Amino acid sequence: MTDIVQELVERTYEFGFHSDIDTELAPRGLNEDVVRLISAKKDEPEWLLEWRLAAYRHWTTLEPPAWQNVHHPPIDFQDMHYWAAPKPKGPAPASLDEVDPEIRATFDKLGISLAEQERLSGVAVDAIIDSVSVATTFKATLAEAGVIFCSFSEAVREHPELVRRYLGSVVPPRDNFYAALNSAVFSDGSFCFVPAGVRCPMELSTYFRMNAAETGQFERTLIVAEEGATVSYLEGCTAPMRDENQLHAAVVEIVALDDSDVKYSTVQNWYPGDENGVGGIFNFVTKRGRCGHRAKISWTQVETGSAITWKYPSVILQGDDSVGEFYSVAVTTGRQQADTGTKMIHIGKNSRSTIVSKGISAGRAQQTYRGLVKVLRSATGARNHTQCDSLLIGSECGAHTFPYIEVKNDSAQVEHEASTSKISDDQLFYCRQRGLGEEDATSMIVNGFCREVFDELPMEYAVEAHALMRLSLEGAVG
Amino acid sequence: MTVAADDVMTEEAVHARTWLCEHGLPTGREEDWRYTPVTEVRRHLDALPEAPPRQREVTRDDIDRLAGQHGPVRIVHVDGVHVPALSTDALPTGLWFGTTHNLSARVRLQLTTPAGDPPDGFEALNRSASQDVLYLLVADDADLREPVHVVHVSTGASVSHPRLVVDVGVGGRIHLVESHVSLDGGGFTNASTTVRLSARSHADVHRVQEQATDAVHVGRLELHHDAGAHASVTALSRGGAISRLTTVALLREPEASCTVTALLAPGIGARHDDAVTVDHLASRCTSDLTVRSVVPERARVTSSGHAIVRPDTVATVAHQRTDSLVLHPTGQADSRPWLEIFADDVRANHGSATGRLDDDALFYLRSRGIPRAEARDVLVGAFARTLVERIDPPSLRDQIAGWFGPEGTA
Repeated sequence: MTDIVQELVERTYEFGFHSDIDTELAPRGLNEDVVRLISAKKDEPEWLLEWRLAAYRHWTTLEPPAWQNVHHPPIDFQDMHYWAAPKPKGPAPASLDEVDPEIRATFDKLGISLAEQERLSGVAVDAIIDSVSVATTFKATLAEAGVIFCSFSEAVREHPELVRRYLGSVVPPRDNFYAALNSAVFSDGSFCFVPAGVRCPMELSTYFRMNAAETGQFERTLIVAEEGATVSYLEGCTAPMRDENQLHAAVVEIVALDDSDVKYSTVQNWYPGDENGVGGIFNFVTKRGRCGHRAKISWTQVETGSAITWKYPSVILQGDDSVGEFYSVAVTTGRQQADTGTKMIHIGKNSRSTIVSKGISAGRAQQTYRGLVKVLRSATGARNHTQCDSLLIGSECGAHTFPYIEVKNDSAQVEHEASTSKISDDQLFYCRQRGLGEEDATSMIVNGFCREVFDELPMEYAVEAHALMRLSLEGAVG
Repeated sequence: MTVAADDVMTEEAVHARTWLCEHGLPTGREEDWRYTPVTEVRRHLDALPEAPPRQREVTRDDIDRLAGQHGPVRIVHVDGVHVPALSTDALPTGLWFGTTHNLSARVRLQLTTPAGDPPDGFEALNRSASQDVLYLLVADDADLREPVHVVHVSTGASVSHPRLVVDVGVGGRIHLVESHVSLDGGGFTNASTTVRLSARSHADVHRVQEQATDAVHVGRLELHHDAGAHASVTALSRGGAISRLTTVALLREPEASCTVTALLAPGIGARHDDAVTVDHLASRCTSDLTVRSVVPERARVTSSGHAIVRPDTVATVAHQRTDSLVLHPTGQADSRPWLEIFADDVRANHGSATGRLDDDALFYLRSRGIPRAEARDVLVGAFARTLVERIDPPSLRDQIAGWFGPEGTA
């Protein structure tokens, strides 16, 4: 195994290139003037500026959280830019053909060819570089079905009543340190609104790219599914290789009204830093959804990137018979650290939740599953099943499981099971005696370990997730 | 510099007091104490007099009635002070007993906890305020299978800090039953027990907390394992308006092992918090934790298990299992089964289940003509029986089985 671990630790980051795009930056540091500048750049209404300023003022009263099981030097929040955007080369593009060729080339290199996506794949893509959305495909087709899918800035301009109604309704600005920061300085992101009774005709996708140096990325995603609506949303993310750490503090809010169904899938591949732990993205994200009666929110995530990941996609099961799901594969190698998991808050009667978390830790990485299942007094008949398994590859890594289970209703049934182990010698021996090489055997075992989660991914991302897993565990899984 | 034994004792207490002044008692904002109603505990502590005169005389009949007789050797501690008149004179060969006041300086020096920092404020308070520490020494290779019964009695509305130190010699064995009981209600007990297990030694420890329903109990049981040592701990908790028990097993040397079983059956409206940490510091160590709790009306029970596997250890096995049975819609059960693994050669798992009585089983019994209350008692008894049946001696097993009958709390 030693050689495999060595190769694994030495894997390279495929998406670490940097594009020479002219970028406009806000002055370094954060104060009310910067917040006003961001709001002015985006030509926002007064109510949104006040909302940002209130969040900023609250943020100044908070200390960064220290309870998570990750270690990093203190972040100097005054030593980064809070606004970075590709400089426009003329008026805003009316179609994909008018998008800056350099930007399109960037997405082509990432395998997210916007034109190809539009022609072939049937997936609507919102592409975001640094602080702004640069292109959104398939808008017209979606509009025919009544679906609004656009950048957050555009939504503020075109659909202010919807944004004002739902913004902060699931993750309020005072929720936590990074949510407050995001609320003050969020730049762009995606907005999705699926009207009542509509099944979104295609997968929606946002691709986030952090390009500029010494910047933070603070996007905000808001998804609203009205009564009986259905939507599947995918997000992916990459960043260049740089020696300094960059902060990514996003907020994702999902409002799933009665009888709606929202599936949110993530393939997170931010730059993880080099083998010595230099550079990489600090990925501190707040994701939460709220379910109405009989509504369903499903989070599926494949986490392979970032120097440090800190996120807990959660579901507030407010409605009766609502359903929350969380499927996660997290791979940490090198000196990556991840403290991730979920929260399921059962409020409605007969609400149900399922948690399946698979963690793979290799090299000198440290990975933590942290989860909360809370059944409130009102949640008669609530059910939860949690399974979190960790696989250790190498003797210097760590895998930790910190679940919290709080049950206030006697009719609830809550089950939790977890295991931590390495790939057993018996499994390897069995595969090898069937003629498989060690790498193929390891690959097969790891894929089997993760299959339950990969099966939940939409087809487009399942392929990408498999590829990412192969890259992340290069050497170990052939 | 040679330090005299008396000075060492003083040094430990002084250090603990200094530490306590600097750090204070825990608060609910600390992760380890978030499920303990620390504010109420502190309020209770502040309201009671420290180290009062004994409230009233305690008789042998009182001890028999409150704690039972679970072995030929009984040692009684009343409000944190040893009472020879209620204790057994004759000790079996291989067992040595003493207290702060009658122990030789050499033995005290050997037994005194190294003057390191206390792990928390309540332990610091115990170390600094304990008036009369009990010491039990088991000689090398002594095989004491008959239980040694240590009874801590709280006599009334006062604060006591009972402290027990057990040292088991190389290859030795002890069977310890430790009971915490109340003569009258309203007391605050801040107890600490340390068991040091030398190489290849063995300890069976039954810790019974059956104090008054309005008492507050904070307890700590710490086990230090040398190579090949094994401890089997059974924590049985029923009394107290608030009860917090911290069990820590330090598997310091290879092939040490530990089994911890806890049965929590608080009364109506009580808060019980049971926290077990097993630290696998060496290779080829194994641990097994099983907790069952029965949660009645308005009660809240928290069960925390924390298995730590340190770097560079191999062949570690760590199991945890927590089951909670909630008997009433106003009951609450919390579970916090943690694994913290820093080495890959490990097999660790935990399982947790929370629910109420099986409706089908209840219906079955009622369809056979068994009244609802009785049917419920039968099922609760069956839930607890798996653990009760493991209890030894039989006299204690019968006592605990009585918790789940028609007269029992559950």
